[in-house]
Amino acid sequence: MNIVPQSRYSPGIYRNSEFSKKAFWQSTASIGRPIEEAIESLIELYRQCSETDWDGYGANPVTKEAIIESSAFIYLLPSDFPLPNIMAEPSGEIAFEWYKSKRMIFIISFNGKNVISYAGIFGSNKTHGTEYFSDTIPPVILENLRRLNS
Amino acid sequence: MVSDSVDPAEPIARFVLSKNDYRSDGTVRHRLFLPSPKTRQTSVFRIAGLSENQIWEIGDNEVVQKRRPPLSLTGRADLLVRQVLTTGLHIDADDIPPRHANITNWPIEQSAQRLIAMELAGMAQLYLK
Repeated sequence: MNIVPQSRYSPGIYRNSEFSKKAFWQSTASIGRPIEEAIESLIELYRQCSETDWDGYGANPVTKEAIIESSAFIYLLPSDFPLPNIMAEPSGEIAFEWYKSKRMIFIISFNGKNVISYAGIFGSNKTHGTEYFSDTIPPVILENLRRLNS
Repeated sequence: MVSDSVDPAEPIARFVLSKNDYRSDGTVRHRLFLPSPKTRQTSVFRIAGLSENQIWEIGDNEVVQKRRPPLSLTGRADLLVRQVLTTGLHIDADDIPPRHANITNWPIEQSAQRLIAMELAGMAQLYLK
């Protein structure tokens, strides 16, 4: 059966206390390979970075909440934006990186507490800040992504 | 022995323990320079006057072998002290172990830390082992 969701984000999956790979795969049934790969990357990241000092420099563990929040963002991301490079940060946050060059780069991160922290370099202009994140992508994040891709 | 005072022209190295800390085009990712959440410092080594072999030895002996289990040394990212200072950060040479220093004075706000780490990564020169 080919299930076409109304949006790419299926909230029920993330509100479930069980962090289930199966649920992720079921939720991506009709979404397309790149998103499946992004979600798979997040799950793998959780496996690799869920213990203290995963980086050898004293990093905090990545939390399940940060994984859930960042996966929600992937589903909400409009399809005309490229998917990001995904990584964990020493703080335990999940970071998404959109990179064109050293001077054209935008990075956001998720801490699992409904906050997106962002920083960007756009030529000689720089920006950083935080935004509340719940059911929609904050406009400032979309503006910066457009800036990078314009 | 190196001088207690840090010369802005001297190079420092941050050892790379993960292939995810650099890109396929040879550029360094910001993550490598983000400070430890526990100390708000980034651990580096002063490498002025050392041969390539001596630099890699420091990475092996003072970074890799001190991790449990030991991690593999993938490379290093070099910067000049002056490049760090231009971002508003400081270098504190504690010499424990010898030649060790910390990048300090990181802002508390994480987004500000990330922006500075992005700038450092943009200036860093990657050397793979």
